[in-house]
Amino acid sequence: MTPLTQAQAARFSALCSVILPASGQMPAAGALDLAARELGMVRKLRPASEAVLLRLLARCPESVTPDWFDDCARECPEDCRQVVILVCAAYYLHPEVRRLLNYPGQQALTLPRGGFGQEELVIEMMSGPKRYRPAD
Amino acid sequence: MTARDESDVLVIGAGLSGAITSLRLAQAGIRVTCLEQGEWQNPEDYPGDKPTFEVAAMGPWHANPNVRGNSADYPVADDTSDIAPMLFNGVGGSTVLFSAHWMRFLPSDFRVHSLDGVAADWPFDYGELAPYYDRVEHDIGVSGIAGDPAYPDRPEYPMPPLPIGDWGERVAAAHHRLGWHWWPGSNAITSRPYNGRRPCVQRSTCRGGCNEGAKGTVDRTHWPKALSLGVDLRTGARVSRIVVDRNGLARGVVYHDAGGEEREVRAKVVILAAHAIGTARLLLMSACPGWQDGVANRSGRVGRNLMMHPLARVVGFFDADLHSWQGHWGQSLYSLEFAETDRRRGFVRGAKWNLVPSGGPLLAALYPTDGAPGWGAGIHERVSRWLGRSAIWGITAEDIPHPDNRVTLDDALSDAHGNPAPRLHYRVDDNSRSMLAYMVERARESFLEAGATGTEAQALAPDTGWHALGTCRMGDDSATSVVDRWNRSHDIPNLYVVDGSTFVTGSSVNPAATIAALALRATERLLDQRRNQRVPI
Repeated sequence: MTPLTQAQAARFSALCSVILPASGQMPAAGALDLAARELGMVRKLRPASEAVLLRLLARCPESVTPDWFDDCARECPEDCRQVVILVCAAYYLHPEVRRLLNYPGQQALTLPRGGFGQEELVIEMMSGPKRYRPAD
Repeated sequence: MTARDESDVLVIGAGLSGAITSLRLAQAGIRVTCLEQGEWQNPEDYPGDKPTFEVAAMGPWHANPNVRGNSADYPVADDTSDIAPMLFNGVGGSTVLFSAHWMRFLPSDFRVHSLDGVAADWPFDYGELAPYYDRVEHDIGVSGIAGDPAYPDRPEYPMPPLPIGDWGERVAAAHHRLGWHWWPGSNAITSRPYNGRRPCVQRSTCRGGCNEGAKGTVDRTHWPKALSLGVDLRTGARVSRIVVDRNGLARGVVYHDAGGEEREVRAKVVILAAHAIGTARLLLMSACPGWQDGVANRSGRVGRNLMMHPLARVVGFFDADLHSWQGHWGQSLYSLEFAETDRRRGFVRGAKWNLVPSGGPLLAALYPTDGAPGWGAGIHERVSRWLGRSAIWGITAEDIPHPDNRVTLDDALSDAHGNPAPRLHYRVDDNSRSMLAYMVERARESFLEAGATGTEAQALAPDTGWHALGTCRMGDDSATSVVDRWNRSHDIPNLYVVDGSTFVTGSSVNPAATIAALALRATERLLDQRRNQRVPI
């Protein structure tokens, strides 16, 4: 896996902002410089997408627009799907995105000391009639 | 020249059934060799405790071998199947990646033909399997609570249930109001320290391998004991054919070892535990003079009657912060309200529902949508609505076995050793489609009663073929089944099949508990009859 060239990184950034534009408090993916770190983490885990990404970047025009990406997705849906996965995966790894979502990642928690929840309903069901279908 | 050695019993596959069988035989002093095409997994490699968990689960830790593409995997031709295969090749088999829902069959599941006039009955009943369920639950380490009125009485579970979560409490209360069944989830996941295993940390990453050792995977629960008793477990060993001698007995198998050398192991008894796809494939690709249609296939049933549990998902969205990216996955709770036949619904048999948390942001962002583009600002809305504020009903439908739903050998695709790949022919029938459509509407009701502000459904999720079953059906009639009621081949008296391929029908519940109980039952019978066999051990 080789790092993106400057030109490729610029195209990737433009593509990112089409796939994940800014909305509300969430920044556009193109504003986060995902190519610097997060994209690399994702590319390592999706080596099969490498050629797809480079192919799509090579096709990108000077100015990437939603219309262009729509057309591209009609022509080569699987390539675009793969790149959407790369962009989204990189975006949701970014610390700023996680902070804005209040998402700290999957945490190791201690199991609660209390019960499992709704115990009184379970006890009520236990005392009710059996409800399985007789098979004899 | 092919290197050769011998064993008393040869087990093919080190997954759930192979581990149970190997351990029990070793405990009885039998010399066992087990061949496993995959390798041991290092829990430190599991992605669950890493920030890249979600994307890793879509690639190198995907449950679909065609996506994952490990060197240990064989490809599966699945373009003729409505459902993609999900399995794992390695020590521990599919338990490494399974969700650990641990469910017994219902009594009616053994009498489908008698009760509903479809499929076939099992040659024994629930009561006969119950003692084996009891035993394997202790070996695997299952958490849950006894007393579910949807089942006959049973002993208490080895551990109490895991917490059902905020989302589970809402849904449980809703079902109570609706008068619908629900019960805290039974899972092969520890809720207390158990046999050297730590309790679950609720990271919700069970399907990428359990970093904590809380999930009951047989590479932890069974294989260390089996190895200590002398079982010869050979990894990287890909079996290419079963060898049958002139007397019609299984003589052993030929396999390629991890170095690529062809070897032969001879044994008095050969036991297949290679998954419903892998076992059927191996029998078919062992065809030879005298067994032109595949070994142990005089009935023509090897590979047929494939069942895959078509699955629907319904997501419920709540206007509350539930932190539902955490939890166990694993089932928070289950419902068997619609598991039994009610012909007024327009289909026979039923479905099991399991409530699970809803994962991280990437799952939300990429979840299949009906018609909406998979990019653009809509992704933000979706993630905002989903992340930590939703739960998912997974709905597994009991599919009726059909002979045309089957595993065959592919003409073109092959594994790294040139063995033909299996091809899946599987179509979801009208009964299953009607059932799933009905269930989706009821699951929406469930969530709305629980206070959900909206729901979203996937009526048939294609990437869910976890429960391949039925390709070497069990039965008393050798014309219509592959193995007898004790899992022994009708055709070859020293050949056994102990995996999910022997299921007569699939129930709607997750099959792991029944695969495990069946394997233990078959092994106990083999031990009991070991001196009375054609080839005593």
